[in-house]
Amino acid sequence: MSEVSVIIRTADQTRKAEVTLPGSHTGADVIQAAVDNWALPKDTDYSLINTRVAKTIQPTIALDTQGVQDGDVLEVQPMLVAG
Amino acid sequence: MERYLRHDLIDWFDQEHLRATRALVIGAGAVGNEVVKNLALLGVGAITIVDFDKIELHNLTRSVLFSEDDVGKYKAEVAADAVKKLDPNCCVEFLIGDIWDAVDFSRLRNSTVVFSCVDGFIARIRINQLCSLLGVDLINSGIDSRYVSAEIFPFMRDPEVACYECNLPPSVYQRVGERFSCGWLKKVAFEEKKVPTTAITASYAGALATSLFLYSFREDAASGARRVFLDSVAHTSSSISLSKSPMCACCAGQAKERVIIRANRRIDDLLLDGMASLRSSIMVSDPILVSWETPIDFNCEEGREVIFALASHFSDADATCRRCGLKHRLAVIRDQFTVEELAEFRGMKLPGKFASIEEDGTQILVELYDGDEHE
Repeated sequence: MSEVSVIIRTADQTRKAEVTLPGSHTGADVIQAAVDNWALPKDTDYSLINTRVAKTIQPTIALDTQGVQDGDVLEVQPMLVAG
Repeated sequence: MERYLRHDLIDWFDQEHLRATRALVIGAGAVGNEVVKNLALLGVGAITIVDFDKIELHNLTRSVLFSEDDVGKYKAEVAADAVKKLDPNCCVEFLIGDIWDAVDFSRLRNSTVVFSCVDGFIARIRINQLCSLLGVDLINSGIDSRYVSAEIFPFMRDPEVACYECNLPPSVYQRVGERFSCGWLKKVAFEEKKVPTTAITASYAGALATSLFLYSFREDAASGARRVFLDSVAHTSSSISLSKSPMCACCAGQAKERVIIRANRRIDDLLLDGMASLRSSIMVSDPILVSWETPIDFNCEEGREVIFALASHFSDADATCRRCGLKHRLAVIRDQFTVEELAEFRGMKLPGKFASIEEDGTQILVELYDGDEHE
């Protein structure tokens, strides 16, 4: 199984971690791990961004089919719902 | 025109285009106030403001168009009055209600752009669905106390772009589901989460949303669906391309050819109007509570009660049996019917905003109306 080494950070950049993940992991898997490990608010939903290409990562599709490469920085951004 | 003297000094500024613009603003809260104010000042020709809510005192810390005298009045009406003061040349209308009930297909299709300034995912999902199906450009914005996002979905120019639902995480659908018990009946004891916001993030959001629209008709405008994400504390921002999902609940599998018609929601009329010959199933825009059923293992003679109305009009409290007082009635909820199944409900009306039928690669969207309206 292929693996990918990426840096994951929060939008305010107060939390950052270099991790190696199975390429089969989805964007939703990465977000869930970030919420659990960093105790991010659970009443908020999040979106994952690949900052190298400035593009969203699909929540339900494997990372390795979305062009995620070693060294990419993935940012966990809150989905904003108030208007 | 002297009013637009400073705009005229900008070489790319197209005042005529703005004058010809018909903007539909859904939600007249903090962000809606800012968007409406910007559109009026820019010289947009026509603005329709939609909101069901009334002004409360706590709204005044973020809403530039409201004052203390307005508490208790409808937000959409007060915002519309404020626009008339900002620019008497602007043709402004207001509708009291939400987009699903108050705005028909005709008004949506006649709009140049829809601004989604609502609270909550359900309203955003519905606005996105309508704009995606009808090919109307959508600008969606959201805030909290620190961050701001504004997204553009140019459905009119490119029907194949990503839609709002393409990038929604599964947790959103779980959260939406928490508002309902199984089968889209409302939960009686559900309390909506209040998100902290400020005038700072609201004004950023209004400016970003309006600028996404303003620059969208420039020749060098970026293509595709995009999100601008701003951190109002660190003063950083990023522009992100929104990727299309092949599994999107809204736009994946949509037929490229689309026919849009209006029809009376009386089932007898619908069957007479050509639906009887359809081979495909009929999808309804809203889940329908078909009936309450009492399982036979309960010693109760309540039996089956046909309802055939919007499931959202009922709550889990309605599952209580009127005969024995036990909560044992099961809701039969569906949003898809064959023509034969629909014929069982002759004499009744098909609830929902619209029905959708895919026949020979063409999607037929049937906007449903009440009464004796003739097209």
